[in-house]
Amino acid sequence: MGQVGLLLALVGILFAVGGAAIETSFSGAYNTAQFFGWRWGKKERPAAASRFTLTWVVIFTLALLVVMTGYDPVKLTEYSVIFSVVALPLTYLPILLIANDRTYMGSNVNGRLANVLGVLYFVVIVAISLAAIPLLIVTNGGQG
Amino acid sequence: MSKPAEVDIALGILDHQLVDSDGINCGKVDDLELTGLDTGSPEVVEILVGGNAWRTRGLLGRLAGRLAGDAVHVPWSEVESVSSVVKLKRPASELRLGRGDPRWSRLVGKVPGS
Repeated sequence: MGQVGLLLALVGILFAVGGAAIETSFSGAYNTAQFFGWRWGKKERPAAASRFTLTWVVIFTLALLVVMTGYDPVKLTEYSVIFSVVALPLTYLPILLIANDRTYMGSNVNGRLANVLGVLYFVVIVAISLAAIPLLIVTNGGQG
Repeated sequence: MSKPAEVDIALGILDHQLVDSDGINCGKVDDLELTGLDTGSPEVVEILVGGNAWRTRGLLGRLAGRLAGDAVHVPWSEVESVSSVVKLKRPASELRLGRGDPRWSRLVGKVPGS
C-alpha cells in the first residue's frame, strides 16, 4: 500500500484520537454540568447550554496544553488509569445507591440478588482502589 | 404536591435537580430554609440555590460561596412536585434562576453553528 496505506492509517488515527478526545472532554463536562444542575447534553444548542459547552472546550484545551508539555503520553495514560481506579468506589457507590432508590428506578429497583452481587463487587473495587497506589510504588510503575 | 407523602428531605430533596415549568434544568437544591424548629412543627419555607448556599460545604464550598455571591431564594410554594427532580411551577427566569447560561451564550453564540 505504501504511502496511501500510511495516509489511511494517519486519517484513521486522527479520527480515533480526535473522537476520544472530544468524548473524554464531554464526559468531564457532563459531570460538571450535572453536579451544578446546568443545562447539558447534545440535544441542547451549544449557545443554550453555554456553560456546558464552555466546560468541554476548557477541558479539551487543558488536555491539549498537557500534551504539548511533551510528557510521555503512554506514561500519562498509565497514571490516569491508576488514579481513575483510586476514584472508582466514589463513582460506583452512588450508582449502587441510586439503583436502590425507588423514586429513580420505579419497578426496576434493585432486588436482593442484584444488591448482594453489587455489594460484593463494591468490596472488590474498594480492595483494588486501596491497593492501586501501593502497587504503583512497589512495582515501580509496573516496571518491576 | 398532589398528595401528602413522607419524604426524607436530606435524601429526597437536598441536592436534587431543579427543573422549571419549561422542563429546563436550573440548578440544584443546595440548601433548605426551615422554620418552626423551636416550636416543634418544622416547615420547609425556601430552597436556596447557588452562591453562599455552598458555604457549609467545606473549604471549597466556602470559597465558591464567597466568590459566587448571594444564593437565590425560591419559596417552597413555587414547587410543583418532588420526584427524582424538584419541578417548579414557573419558568426559571421568573424565579431568578438559570441566569448563568444566558450570561455565557453571547460568547458561545459567536461560534458558527452554535
